[in-house]
Amino acid sequence: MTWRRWAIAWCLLPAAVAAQPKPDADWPCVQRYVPEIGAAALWPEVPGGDWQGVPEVAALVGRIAPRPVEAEQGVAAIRDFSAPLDAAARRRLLPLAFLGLMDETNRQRDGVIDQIRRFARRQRDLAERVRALEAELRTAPAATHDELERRRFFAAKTYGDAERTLHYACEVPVRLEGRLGAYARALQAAMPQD
Amino acid sequence: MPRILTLPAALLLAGALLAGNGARAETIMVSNEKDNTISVLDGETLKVVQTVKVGERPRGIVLSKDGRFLYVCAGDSDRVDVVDTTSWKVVRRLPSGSDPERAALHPDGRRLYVANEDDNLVTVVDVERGVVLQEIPVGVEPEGMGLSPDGRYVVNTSETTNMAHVIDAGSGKIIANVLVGARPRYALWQPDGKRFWVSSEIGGTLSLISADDWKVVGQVSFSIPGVPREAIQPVGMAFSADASKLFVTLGPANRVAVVDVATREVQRMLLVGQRVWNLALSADGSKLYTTNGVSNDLSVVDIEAMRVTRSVPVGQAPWGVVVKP
Repeated sequence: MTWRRWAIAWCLLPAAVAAQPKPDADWPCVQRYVPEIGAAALWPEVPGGDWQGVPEVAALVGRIAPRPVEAEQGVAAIRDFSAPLDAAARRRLLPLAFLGLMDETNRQRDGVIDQIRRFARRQRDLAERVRALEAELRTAPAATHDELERRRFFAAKTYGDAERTLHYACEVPVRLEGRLGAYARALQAAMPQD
Repeated sequence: MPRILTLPAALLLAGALLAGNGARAETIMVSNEKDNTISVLDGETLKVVQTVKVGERPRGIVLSKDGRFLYVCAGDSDRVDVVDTTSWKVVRRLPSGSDPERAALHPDGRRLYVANEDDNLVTVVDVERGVVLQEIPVGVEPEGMGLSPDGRYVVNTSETTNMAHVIDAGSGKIIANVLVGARPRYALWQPDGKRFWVSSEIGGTLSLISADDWKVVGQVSFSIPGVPREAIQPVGMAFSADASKLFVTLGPANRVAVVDVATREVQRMLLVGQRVWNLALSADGSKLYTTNGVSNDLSVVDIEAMRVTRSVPVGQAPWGVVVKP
């Protein structure tokens, strides 16, 4: 792109910037930050009700919501839960089970997102420290050079090592969402066909 | 004397008829971003009949004009793989520039326009000679590629610069830069060639741009009760067969929006699989196929009934989809 074309583009930018959402400095993932999983993203109509007030639903949620439970195990538990229920009980209990699983997944997801944000802030601090040490190195007397270089090396290494884990950390909310989706589909499949 | 078919002859005839039916069924191709494969599905049975190993991180896929080849943007391998749609093997590798994400084929069937996400370039590749014809500098993180039906203009969207760049296909020069919503992902021309649509993933909007003066003449926003607005991330677009409706994928909202093209009203929000990326119309225009990157499936939408009828498991993180009649 020529300088003239860039100049035109940048002249046009302020109007667009005003209309664009502000970047979130504490969110380091390529996936856009979404505050919570909404019910309507996985269920045709937004269900309501107190899932914690229904002991059998709360028990199912307690069994399959914890993070170590694999989607396949949870889906099998949903099938077992639904099998003995008649149509009316399914209509009443399965949407409540979805609500409970969604609430628990969102709670776990909030915790993961907090960790990712803390990670991003720590990385930003580390990057600043590396920059500061580099600036210091440029003017430092020879006697302190080796020590400064050693500190810069370890700060940069810590930053680089952590950065490589970022991709995996950002996939955790996606995996939680994927498992909740599998649960929602299993619950939907068990709903009576009207 | 009446002619009676012998059993072997009858079986042969039945076989020929069945083969004939099979040959008429369309073929659906899906790129699986995390599997490095293309899933090939029979359009009639919706079964995966082939899985083709390709380069790393395949996303954008385009059929050749005659349907004999599938061009696959293998982003992490920095190339475009050419898959023979009869033998289902990679038969050639085309140069593409760095990190090809999406591509669009010129109506001449030779020039493939490839968006290089890492290099801020659009690379023009001659698919017959296998050479790079031109590199066109554009904005930061180019992705969407849309060719006007007459082949005069190529529209590229740049995700970070938030612009649609209109390129004169003849000269390869940018003739207009149009500001659109944040992180524009895809550009699609109306079949009449008078306007094109751009989807903005973070802006959560569509922009409609006129080819008369390259100005934004309309915008569409989406809202879904019970879904945070941040989750509504428009990316893929496809027209209905009569171009009266525009289908738009909304990412982690797990919905496909149905937009009336004339009034720009959102008519429906169909619940599909998770993290819906792209979509394609069946050859007869009766169905839509969507790729769902988190639930690892393809949703099938009956357009007349406006209902999702099937979910078909494919590979890991399905992204692109095309239909070969």
